[in-house]
Amino acid sequence: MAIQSHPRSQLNPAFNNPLRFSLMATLAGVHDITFRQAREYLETTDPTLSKHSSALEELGLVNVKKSFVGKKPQTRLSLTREGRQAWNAHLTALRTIAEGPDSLPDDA
Amino acid sequence: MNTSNTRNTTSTPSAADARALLDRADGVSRQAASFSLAWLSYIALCAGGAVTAVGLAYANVTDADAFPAWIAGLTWIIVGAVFTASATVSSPPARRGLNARWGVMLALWVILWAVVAFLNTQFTLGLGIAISSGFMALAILGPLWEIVAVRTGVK
Repeated sequence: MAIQSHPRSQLNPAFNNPLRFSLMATLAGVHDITFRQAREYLETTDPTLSKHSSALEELGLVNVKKSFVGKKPQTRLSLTREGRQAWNAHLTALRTIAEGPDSLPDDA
Repeated sequence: MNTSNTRNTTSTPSAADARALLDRADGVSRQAASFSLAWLSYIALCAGGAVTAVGLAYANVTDADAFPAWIAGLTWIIVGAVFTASATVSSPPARRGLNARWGVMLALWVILWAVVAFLNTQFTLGLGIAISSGFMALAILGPLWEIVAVRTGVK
């Protein structure tokens, strides 16, 4: 008989930080977004967003693409396939928890 | 979208917390995307197709020179193509799935354009108007699809 684990074990620790959570939610809803647009939308600062987007990039969850528009550098952020899967799994775990104790395994 | 005062989600969330997080994720995802300006260039492409179709049909029926019809139509198409590049750079973030929606609508445009480009010598005025109406329908359908995607969050 398969042992059903508590859905909290399915929560991705990479999304514990509120800004990373919001950044993942943002990227899940868009095709891609420029660094500047993300910074303004999330009402954060360049260093903070840079730190968290880099961390998510290192985990292979976010794609950070740098290019030039004319002479101006532009950074675009998007979810990788792994990032989308991880985000969907995280939301699924949250939904299971949100459904209440009845939906959780007995040994939770 | 202030994220500075939101609680850290490190501890195991309660059912209420989980619902709040899901609501937050849904709200953030929905509001992140806007209407892509690239669809304005699609409207220009469709306008070019419509002008060319009617112009070539009229030239065909009246034995007039087809050159002005090509010039008028291609002007719109060139404007649309050039605008696409600048629009995608300056556009607000588009809803996920834009490439798929754009690809489908552009494929439909190419089909109609192929009819205009290769079969225009067969055009009657009625057929030209019908093809032109097809382009106008695409010009409405593409942006409408985008608006629905932005509002509902679906592809």
